[in-house]
Amino acid sequence: MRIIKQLFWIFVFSFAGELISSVLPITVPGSVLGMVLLFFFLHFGWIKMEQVEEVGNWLTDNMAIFFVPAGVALMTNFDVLADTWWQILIIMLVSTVFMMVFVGKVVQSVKQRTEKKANQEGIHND
Amino acid sequence: MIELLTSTPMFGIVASVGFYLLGVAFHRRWPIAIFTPLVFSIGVIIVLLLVFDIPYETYNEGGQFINLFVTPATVALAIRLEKNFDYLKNYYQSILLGIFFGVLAHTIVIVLLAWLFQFNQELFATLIPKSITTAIAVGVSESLGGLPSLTVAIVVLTGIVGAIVGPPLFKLFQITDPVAQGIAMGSSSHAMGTTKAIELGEVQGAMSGLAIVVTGIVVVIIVPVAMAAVNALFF
Repeated sequence: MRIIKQLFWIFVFSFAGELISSVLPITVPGSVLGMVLLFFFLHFGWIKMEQVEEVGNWLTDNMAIFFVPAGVALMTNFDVLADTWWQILIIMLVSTVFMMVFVGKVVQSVKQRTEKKANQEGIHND
Repeated sequence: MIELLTSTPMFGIVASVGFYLLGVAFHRRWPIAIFTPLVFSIGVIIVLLLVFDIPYETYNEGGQFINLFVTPATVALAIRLEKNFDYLKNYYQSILLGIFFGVLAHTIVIVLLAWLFQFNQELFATLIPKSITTAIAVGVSESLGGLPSLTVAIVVLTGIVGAIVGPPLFKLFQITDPVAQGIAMGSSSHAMGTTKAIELGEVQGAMSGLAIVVTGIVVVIIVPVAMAAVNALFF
């Protein structure tokens, strides 16, 4: 019963996210809206962590398996890939390497700067 | 014989779960990229469907039930966000700036390359969400008019590439801060990067998990704007 209750709450937030997504004028995936909603409910204690934690962790820990059918649908796109696969691969490689280095560098330098500043002011907010 | 096997939706369900589990077993034995359970199961199922001439729709009669869990799994990411919220609070400046400008720069790189290769809008929309977790990427791709199934493939590949190139890149570019490493892994290669980040250290793992969620949200916010700008400029 505990599992069913937890599943119920996660489905309720999924449902709410999808509903809001369908009435919003901008395109935001319902799943993301559901996630943001659940985050606020957890953060402000309107729903307790224990009410969703077990099922929620099971879902996120095993997330990859849920994408198998979506991935298999790749076979319906073979016509697009025939001409573009190597260009897609280049874009994929270049942009991934670029983002990895860029984000790492920005986070590191901003963090060092704020820490230095905090130290100079004698504040230890680490 | 094939007709009998594929006459029930259970065919798609058993094939998906079965080959995924087989991938898990193989990957434990030989931990190489091709045996990553998601990659392995997708590859094997596509080959089988093509060889036995089974239409995707037949497979998907069962597959759709598995696909249904993508939304609740994404919603459940909120739990990780809440658990790692203290990190976000402490380093919010560097984390948010890094991810925000990272997503922006990443989008610009893709726009430039897509323009160079003269890609149409459909392919561009397919590529844009490539660095974020599959669930959110599929939603973004769909809502921008991309090809969600191709997005899934690109997202998975991105994850594999990111997990492999991350650590050597950190060495090469002297990114030594554990928070920076974790955020870089999670924001550029989502959950697969996170599995590698966990190997680098506890802080890296937590930061990477947090970055998945934050990057997903940033992409959802930035990308429709970028898309409108690109449309105005190129199409």
